[in-house]
Amino acid sequence: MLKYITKRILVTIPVLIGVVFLIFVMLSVVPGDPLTVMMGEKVKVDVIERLTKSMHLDDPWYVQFAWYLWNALHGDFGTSYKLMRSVSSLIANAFPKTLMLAVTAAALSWVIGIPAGIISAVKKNSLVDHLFMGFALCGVSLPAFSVGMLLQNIFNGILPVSGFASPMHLILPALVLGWNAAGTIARLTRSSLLEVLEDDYIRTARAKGVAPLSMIINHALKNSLLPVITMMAIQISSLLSGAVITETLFSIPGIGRLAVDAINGRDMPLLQGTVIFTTVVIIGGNLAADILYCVADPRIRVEGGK
Amino acid sequence: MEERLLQIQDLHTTFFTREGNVHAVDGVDMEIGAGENVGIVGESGCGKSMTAMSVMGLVKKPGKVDGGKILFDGMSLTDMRPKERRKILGNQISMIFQEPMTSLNPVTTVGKQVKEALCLHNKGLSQKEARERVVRVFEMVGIPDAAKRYGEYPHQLSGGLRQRVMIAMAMVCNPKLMIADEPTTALDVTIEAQILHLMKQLQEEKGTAVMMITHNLGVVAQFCTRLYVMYAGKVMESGTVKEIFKNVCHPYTDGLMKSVPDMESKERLYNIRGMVPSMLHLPKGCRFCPRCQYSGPKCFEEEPKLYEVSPGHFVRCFLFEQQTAQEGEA
Ligand SMILES: Nc1ncnc2c1ncn2[C@@H]1O[C@H](COP(=O)(O)OP(=O)(O)O)[C@@H](O)[C@H]1O
Ligand SMILES: [Mg+2]
Repeated sequence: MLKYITKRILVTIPVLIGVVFLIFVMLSVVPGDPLTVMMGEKVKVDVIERLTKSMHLDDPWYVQFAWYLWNALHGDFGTSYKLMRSVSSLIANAFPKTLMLAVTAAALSWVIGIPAGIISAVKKNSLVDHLFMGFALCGVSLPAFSVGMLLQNIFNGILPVSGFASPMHLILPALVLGWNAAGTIARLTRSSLLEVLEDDYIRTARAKGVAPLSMIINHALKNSLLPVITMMAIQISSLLSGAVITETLFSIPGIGRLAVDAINGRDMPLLQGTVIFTTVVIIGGNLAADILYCVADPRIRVEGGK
Repeated sequence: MEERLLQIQDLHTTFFTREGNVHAVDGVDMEIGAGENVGIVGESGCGKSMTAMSVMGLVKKPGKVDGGKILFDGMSLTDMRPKERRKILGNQISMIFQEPMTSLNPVTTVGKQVKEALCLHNKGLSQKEARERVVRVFEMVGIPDAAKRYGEYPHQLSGGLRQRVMIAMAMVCNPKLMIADEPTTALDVTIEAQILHLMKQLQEEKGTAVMMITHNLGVVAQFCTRLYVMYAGKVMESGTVKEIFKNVCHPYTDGLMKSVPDMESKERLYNIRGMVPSMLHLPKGCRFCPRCQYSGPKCFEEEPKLYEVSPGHFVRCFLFEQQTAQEGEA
């Protein structure tokens, strides 16, 4: 298994470099002279020349890329044009907020989504099932901004609806994100469990005299949660990379908000930085999903170990 | 026959589907004595598995046992509460399935899966004792390196070994009755012979009664003492293997006999003409008559009863109605 994981990690390195390259190229070809964006129209010529040199702006693109990659490896993603602070420190500042929001939303979605999925599967086609699945469908299909505004309206005056001053401020945005994630998880848990309950080894267990509850817990659940684990890892990585709409709507200064600000201000280094950060988080999440799957499933675990 | 262990009386198992009601088991009577080895034969889809599943109480929706009685060891399984019935499953009645590749849980070690059957019905057993007993049963069913295999996962074992694990699971509580639903159909011929040999040996040692479901009369000839031939949810012929092989009566049984592959002859394998009828559109009268070369006008109109052609040998065919009557007069 160690070999499999090592291989899996090594594979991500070229992927990362490729992604950084793509982002670099895409954002370099966007029209607009960075210096004008940065300083406005009225700047002295010698200042421009000095800055052009220090930022390697007159080098060919591949030299620029090499510099960027080299600096990025050292944690330096340049300086924000607008905020005049290093991109890394801006991200480091924003990330804890996104992290808290993501963890709360993910925890909410697991605590609600998995049991709801199990109950729905066990009581298939009952009223409870329809109710849960209706809620889940709403969570999956309603766009975040409409759910967010709805909640803001309902809870206005009861809970804080904007900003990030106390844990209370987390409740509504976490609900928005958590509802969506819980919907996906509940639906996946239900369908996966129903599928597993049709498997031959469940029949074998029944033939042993296993009681229904123990059947679900000891025989069906582990198998049916394998795809759910993968989904959870991917979900949390997407939450960690910043929920643009939710963070903007609730004025949470996280990664998502940072990216929006960068776009609005044509702040290329900041945008590059946030996009690369997001990519790393998502690749990391997928990696974690694969590793978790391989820990949980003996079929992969053993073959990988050979 | 020895003391009656299992008695199935007028069993009906029906699937209530959108297209209509499928009578998968349609009035079956069957008996298995203690320690007896009984074969159930028939083409695919004729209700063998459903008969077994009805005994186990494992018929799934939209199916339902909707008539008849199943008595086991003097208790009525059909009137029992689910909780009571589960105490018998895996303990006094156990079952082996056709698909060794999928019948074991892929994420649990095979040892644990067998141990569960043991511990479930022997609450006082310590984990260590249980483990030791499972390893002994593994050895008994011929799993090499039993102690090592105990901790392995199903995908690490071959089909033959997995079926041995299933047999170990079925035998671990020393059941009175073991139902084997085509236990060797998915295995190749050499492994099939080994598994049958093993089952026969265990059965003789432990005195377990076996219900051997198969579509291969060759297996029955080797393995069983008595035989039920099923067709479209009904028993068509029953009796001792000796008697039926000596004096085949029902044209369907005759067809099955001729379809057993014979290694020596070079002739093309015989096939019963026609196909198993759709269980939704069964012919009026005898169910087999559209495929039967002896069928007369009466066969298309009326359903034959089981006629006793000689003591213990029953045939559901009008060809033998006369014979019984004459014997009755004589
Ligand atoms: N889930 C189901 N829905 C409808 N009919 C079924 C279902 N399962 C089995 N049957 C019916 O029961 C009949 C007997 O099936 P089975 O006992 O499995 O046959 P076999 O003799 O091959 O073991 C089949 O021909 C089919 O018509
Ligand atoms: Mg079958």
